[in-house]
Amino acid sequence: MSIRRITVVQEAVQAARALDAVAQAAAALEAELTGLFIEDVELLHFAGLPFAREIGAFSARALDVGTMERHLRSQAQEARRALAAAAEGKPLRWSFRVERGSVPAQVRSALADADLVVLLGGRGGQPPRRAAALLSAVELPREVQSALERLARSLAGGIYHVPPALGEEALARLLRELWRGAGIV
Amino acid sequence: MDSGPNGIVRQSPAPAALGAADLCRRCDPSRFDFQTTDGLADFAEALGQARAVEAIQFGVGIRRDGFNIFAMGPEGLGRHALVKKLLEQQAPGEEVPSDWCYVFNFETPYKPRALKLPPGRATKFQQHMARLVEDLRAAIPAAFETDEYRTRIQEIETEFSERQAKAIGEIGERARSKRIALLRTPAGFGFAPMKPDKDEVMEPEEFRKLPEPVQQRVQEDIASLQDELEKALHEMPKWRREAQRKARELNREVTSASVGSLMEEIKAEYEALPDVRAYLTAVQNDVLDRVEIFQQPKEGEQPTLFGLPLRMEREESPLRRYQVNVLIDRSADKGAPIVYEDNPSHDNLVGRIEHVAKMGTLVTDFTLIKAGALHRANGGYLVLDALKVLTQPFAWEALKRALRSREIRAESLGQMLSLVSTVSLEPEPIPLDLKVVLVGQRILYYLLHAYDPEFGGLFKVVADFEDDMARDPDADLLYARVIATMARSDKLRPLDRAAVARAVEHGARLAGDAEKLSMQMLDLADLLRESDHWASTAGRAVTSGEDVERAIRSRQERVGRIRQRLQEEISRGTLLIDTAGERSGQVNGLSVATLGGFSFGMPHRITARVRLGGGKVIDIEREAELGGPIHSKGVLILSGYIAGRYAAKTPLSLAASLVFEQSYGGVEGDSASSAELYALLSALSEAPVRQSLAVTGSVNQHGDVQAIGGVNEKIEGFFDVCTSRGLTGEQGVLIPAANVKHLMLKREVVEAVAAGKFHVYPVASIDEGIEILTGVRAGQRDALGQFPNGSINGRVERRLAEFADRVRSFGGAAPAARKRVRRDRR
Repeated sequence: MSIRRITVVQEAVQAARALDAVAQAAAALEAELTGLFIEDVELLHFAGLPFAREIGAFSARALDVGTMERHLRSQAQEARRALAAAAEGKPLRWSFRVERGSVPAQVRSALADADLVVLLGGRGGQPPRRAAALLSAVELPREVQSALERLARSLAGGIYHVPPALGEEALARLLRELWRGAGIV
Repeated sequence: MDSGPNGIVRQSPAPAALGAADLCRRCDPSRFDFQTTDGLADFAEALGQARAVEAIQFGVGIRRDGFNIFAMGPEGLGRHALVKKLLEQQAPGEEVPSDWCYVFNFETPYKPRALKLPPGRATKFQQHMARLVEDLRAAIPAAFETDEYRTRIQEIETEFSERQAKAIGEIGERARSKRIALLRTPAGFGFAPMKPDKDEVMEPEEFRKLPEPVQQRVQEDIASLQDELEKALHEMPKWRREAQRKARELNREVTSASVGSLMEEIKAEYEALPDVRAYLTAVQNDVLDRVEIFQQPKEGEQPTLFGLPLRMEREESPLRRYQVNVLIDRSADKGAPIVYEDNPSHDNLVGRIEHVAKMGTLVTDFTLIKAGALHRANGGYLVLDALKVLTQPFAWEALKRALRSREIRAESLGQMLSLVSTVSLEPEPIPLDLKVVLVGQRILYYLLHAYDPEFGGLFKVVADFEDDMARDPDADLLYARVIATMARSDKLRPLDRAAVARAVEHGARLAGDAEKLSMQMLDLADLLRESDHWASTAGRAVTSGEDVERAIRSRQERVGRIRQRLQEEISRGTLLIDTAGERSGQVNGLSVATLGGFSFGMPHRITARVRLGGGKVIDIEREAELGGPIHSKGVLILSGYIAGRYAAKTPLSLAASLVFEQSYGGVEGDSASSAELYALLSALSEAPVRQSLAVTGSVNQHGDVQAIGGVNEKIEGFFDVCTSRGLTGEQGVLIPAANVKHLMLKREVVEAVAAGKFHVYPVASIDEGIEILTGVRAGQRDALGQFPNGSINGRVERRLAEFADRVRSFGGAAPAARKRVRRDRR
């Protein structure tokens, strides 16, 4: 079975080379690439709380829903730019969309639409802390395998190869693991 | 002559005209015992410059401060050639001086260090350093590639990230136990209550529905968690720094072994040079501190500026700091260096610091320091043209500063004058030990001596070149050998005896003296080249006397347009010069004009008018501000002569005016003062002067005729005018007797004199001259102190006495006379 549609779930700031490797793999497979940015509804819920505070490495500040929405919008724009840069110059059909909702639910729904879902983690942190996860309903062809090896090298981190049927709990844990608090300082 | 103080009368008969033999001291070719110059040995010494040679040898030999040499004399004497030759004799026997390099100063980067190396070692040192850097570029990344390093750096990284993750994870777990979620927000973390049944964040509405005490508790829990998290986050930069420090230590540890062994290898080569070893130790420490610059950029990781790839030249790489700038390399030198700097500008002397434009700004570093002439000549000799040094802005000051401080401070002129306000360097000065030879005109030496207080202390040896040398048969032969040497070195045809003889005569003529030979070697060399050209035109294998003669003539022809035009205007009667007949108060004077190095003589009509007056001779040239001070002095002497000789006991009641007719340029020099006096005496005595004669010579207050310059040109100038009108046998020139030894007249004049068609009279006194000019005896005072009746002197004295009587006859009109005097003065 061939891979026709690939969805890459992006955080705003990713290693450009990881995205580039995904785009290359998509071009090699002649698959359509979709960038997906998920506006995490949990963050919006958090921001709606009257006592919501964001604690950073250097400062802590109060948050509201408006600020959070602005942040997410700007992150989405950044993610779009990164994907456009990765796709540039490659024979590739690509698109980008933003969805709001629970991250596991959105990932699951993406998996329903695409043959392969790539989760890039890491927030641009240092190489050992970058990682990616692959969710696929099909067996991966050899070109994808070699492209993924390159991706693994570029990330210098781990690749989580995830079986197609993934329980909700397991997916949430994976996401936590993938996006754990790296790259703070 | 006049009566002496004791009243004894000296009688001097009018002198006879000179014979042809006195007019030009020939060089007789038959006295030479060679056929052509090929038969003559080279003359390697400096002809007639014994004084200068000795001075230069002394200056070169003495090894003391300030004993630099000033070789002075006019152009064309071969000063540069002689200096070069003497230095070339001395320098090879001397020690080859050190090599010099500039290297990076790791402590003070803007002050590059100067390193001294034994001759010929600098370039090798440069190569060693280049190889060292290459080796380091291989060895350092190799050390980082080892599994050991990778494992250890991974350990450090992992330790840090786990420490971080653990701290946050612990807080997350504690929060979870209280049903509070730790969320990653765009710029950090946040805490939010979880739904009771699910691992999801509680929606705000749901939270608000919770009972007040529960809300309160949640908020308190969150506040305490936030505190904890903040504390944990504050620790993190410290942990990161710790990890970085560990990584640095690891880097140093990993690289020091390979760097150390490479450095030991190169240090061993420079065991005996402590400065170089100290530099190498500094290099070693610097390398260990900045090992990251040896990591070559991987492909695809080009440095960029605003997203545009930057092409990083090898020179721009951070490894440039380990380069060696070889300022002076003596590997090819044998003995001390001799440097002739043809363009001694400030920067060419002390060296310069160049800049390169990078991203629109000017930058520099120690590799852009360039050596100047002082660096190149250090330990040896620097030859400079004095005028060129003095005319280059700030070059003279820079040269003196270097000699005085005995060090070379490379500094650009722009920097010195603050014209270039960009980052620049202060290179460590290099000790200076050299001998400077300045070559220049005498006037420069004397002016510098007079006006520059430092000059005398810095240039203590003066080598004064002679303009000419004494001429005798031996000297003629030496001169012939010089000619032979020049002809050979210039690859000219050999010259036969007649040609050599003619060139020797030309040498005497150039010296303006039959008993001297000119030392103008440049002129002689040109004459030989031109003669060779004419020999070649005539198809001769040997240059003959005819060719030399032709060279001399054609040279005069080429530059003789103005002389020819003046002669022409005399022939056409535009310029009034009589060459026959007689006239009172009018004498042919002679002047010399020098234009473009070519001198020629021309006759000038000098006239005098006399009348009653206040005892003053008016020089119209001076009144019109056309006469120079020496000319004025000559005229004032005339008043002294006339008053002293003829009006010692009566007031001099004369008003006379003297003028150079048809002279529209300036008149300078006193060589016409005798002619002016003759004109005045003729006017006073009313004795007509033979216009077929011309006169030159200065006069003193006693009436002695004194030597003048340019006697040959003057005689030839009048001769040419007479020749163009036809020689009558009456014509001739009166010259000072003291100038006879200077006569080197051209062949035509000598031939005309031999044939009795032209005459040259040597005159020692005014009395002698006036007799020749007027044909009337000058007359000497007799025992009663009276001049004979009818003699020139008698007539002058009587005329002046008449003037005095007439003034006296005005009686009490002295004030009127005084008034007239005043008017005369005006």
